[in-house]
Amino acid sequence: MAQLYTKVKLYLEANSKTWEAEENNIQLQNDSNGLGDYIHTWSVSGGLAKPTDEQIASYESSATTEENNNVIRGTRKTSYGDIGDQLDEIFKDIDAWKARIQSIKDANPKE
Amino acid sequence: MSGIVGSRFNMRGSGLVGSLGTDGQVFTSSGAGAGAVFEAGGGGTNTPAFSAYLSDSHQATSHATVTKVALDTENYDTDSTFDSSTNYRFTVPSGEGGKYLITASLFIEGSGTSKANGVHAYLYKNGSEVMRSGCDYRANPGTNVTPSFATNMILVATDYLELYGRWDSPDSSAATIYGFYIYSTHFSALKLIE
Repeated sequence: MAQLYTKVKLYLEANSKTWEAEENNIQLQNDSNGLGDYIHTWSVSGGLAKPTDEQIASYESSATTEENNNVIRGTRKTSYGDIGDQLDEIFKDIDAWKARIQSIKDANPKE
Repeated sequence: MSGIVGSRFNMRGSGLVGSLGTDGQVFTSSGAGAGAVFEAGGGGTNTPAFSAYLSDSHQATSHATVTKVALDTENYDTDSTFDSSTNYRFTVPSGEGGKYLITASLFIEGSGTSKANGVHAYLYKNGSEVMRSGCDYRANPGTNVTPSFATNMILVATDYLELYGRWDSPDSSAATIYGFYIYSTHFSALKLIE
């Protein structure tokens, strides 16, 4: 199951908001009582309503995709290597660098 | 002569005597020309007191989510004030209001290196945050972090305290609150003697 955070983030983006801009207006919480994560505080700018349970649930599939892609982004980033080394690669042979980056992308496709 | 004579304590020269007192009392001067007496000593016990920690079972926590730490094992709990099975909270018992010293630490680690953008420990009193301690590593993400705090506060009977933690990762991934070592994730409090 995808994290509540990811579903809330997608809900915000679907309503022209971002998590980064609203982070201080939202608190996700888990009281370790077996009921899982929930929205403890919601005071989003512009009066955007707190999502209902049904609205949150509707993001399950897309949130799972988002989280899987985050893992792939991480794998790609590690394979790309240090940005300074990449600049050196680009300086010496930009086409070889492009080919290497493309091979990493091909080996780690996003969903 | 000086010494115990019957049930009295006699002092040479002064002629002053005092009763022997009871078990646990100490002999205290009452000032020049006055008879020293046995009375209750200083000190006392720092109770109620408890120390709880997270066992090796560990605990999962989501990204950007303030999560109560399920401290499931007690090192000691003098007055059965800490609930280590359901609510994971310390409750001040009746008649034990006063100043308390509170300490906590929280060991959180992500699923790989450089996964920690921020880690915070929160002290909650009666369901609301009253203190926060933590680190912001967004400029250079870390791997694991152990925020901690020590504070004191005045509590009254029925007040309750809980330990919460929050993890933030650059890739929004979840993390684990670890109990690898006793006290790496712990919570304790004791009443101060006044």
